[in-house]
Amino acid sequence: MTQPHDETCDLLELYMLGGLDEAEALRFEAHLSSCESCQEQRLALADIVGLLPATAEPQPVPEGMKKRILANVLAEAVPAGSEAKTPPTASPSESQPSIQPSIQPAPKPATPASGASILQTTTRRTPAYMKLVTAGLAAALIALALYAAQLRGQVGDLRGELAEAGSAPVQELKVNQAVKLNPAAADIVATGLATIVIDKNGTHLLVQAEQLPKLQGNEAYQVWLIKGQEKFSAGTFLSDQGTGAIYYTLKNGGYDTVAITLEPDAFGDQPRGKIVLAAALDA
Amino acid sequence: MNDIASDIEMMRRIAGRDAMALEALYDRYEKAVYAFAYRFAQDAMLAEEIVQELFMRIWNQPERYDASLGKLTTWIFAVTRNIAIDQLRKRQNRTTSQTADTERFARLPDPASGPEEEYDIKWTGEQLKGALAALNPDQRQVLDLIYYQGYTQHEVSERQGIPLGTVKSRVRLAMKQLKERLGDLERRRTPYDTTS
Ligand SMILES: [Zn+2]
Repeated sequence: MTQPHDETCDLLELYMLGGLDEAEALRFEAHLSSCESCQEQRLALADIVGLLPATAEPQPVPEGMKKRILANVLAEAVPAGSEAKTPPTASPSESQPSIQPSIQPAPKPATPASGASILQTTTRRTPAYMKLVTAGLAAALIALALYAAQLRGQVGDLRGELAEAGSAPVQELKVNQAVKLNPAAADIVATGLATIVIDKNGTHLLVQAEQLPKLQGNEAYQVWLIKGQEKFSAGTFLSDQGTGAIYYTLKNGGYDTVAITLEPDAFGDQPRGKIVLAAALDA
Repeated sequence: MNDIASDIEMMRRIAGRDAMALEALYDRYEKAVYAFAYRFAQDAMLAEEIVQELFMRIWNQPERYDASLGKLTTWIFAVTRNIAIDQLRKRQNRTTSQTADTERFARLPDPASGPEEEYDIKWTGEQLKGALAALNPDQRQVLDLIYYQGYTQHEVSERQGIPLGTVKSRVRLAMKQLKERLGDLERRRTPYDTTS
């Protein structure tokens, strides 16, 4: 071993097990993105860490747990504005409706065209440990809400709503860039918005689209960040009634384009399908 | 249909608000997730609460799962651990400002191993259990504090009164030994013993 040793590499195991604090983890991720040695070793470690759940001793599942959980979960998914104050704690199963195959799928709680209902659906339920929304999720929710507000030209109102809802530290948030995604072909009616949000935890990309063509079979939408000839996947999503969104924390900057493609499946690491929406970014 | 493809299909249906798909997913993972949650909570009621919160998130935010970054079980267990650790910290009135979001592991793209490779499960939980049992108590304790109790390296150092460097080296040594032990099992396999 004549190579100079980078002490940061010593944090890989702690990182994989979740033993770094947030700031350390972010710093380590920056290291990981450029350290081949860590990238290699990460795979073997991921196998081991990924197997830890399988070492748990089997436990007898409490009587009636399935009924309680499914009833509570499905009861939560009522439309915004309806009464939905069921606490998440287990309750006697007798009074709960049983889960029958005939059960009506609950309506989608929010559509992206309505910022207010997004806020309601994300704040109406607050079991103790749900208050600890991760910073990244909070940023995504704010970006979603901002997107919705921009559609309605009500950004000012929305900041007030957010502050009132107490759901997020608005003042810590900076919307760095919001670009409209344009259809890549004349026959596409879809619209979308890519928002880049910076908060204390980093730079986040939120891509949101609507009126997307319906997916078939294993098809999925995939978001790409493009830098010159290089294309990086920012993740895949499935649309719900033509609407979909994805949230991604940027590891590097300097991308010149963001694009959404319609892919044959969710597994590609390079685009194979056609571009549906795209926009240029300020690198 | 194999499990991975059907997991993705189920998540797609869940995103479409298909309650039967949620129930099917629940049936598939109830036992494994409950056992894992119980490992953290050591209590049936609290473990059930964790499982419920997991399915709340699956139902209400299925888009948080990104199939291109790994298989569904990896994500499910990462989210379960998050919920369990949050619950533990809450119960113990521990600070939450310094927590690493373990769901991030499920978000990290894995350039070298696409989903196809994950059909090939190299080791089993039983084998890892054996390897864990062979660690020395100090190493096992540090793993337990970090992975199952959600302490950071600094908190472990403070709590146990051991230098930070020692925490790091115990973790590294523990993982190295697990890797070697499992690697030995791997090498003992016959060359034609490949899963498909
Ligand atoms: Zn490194």
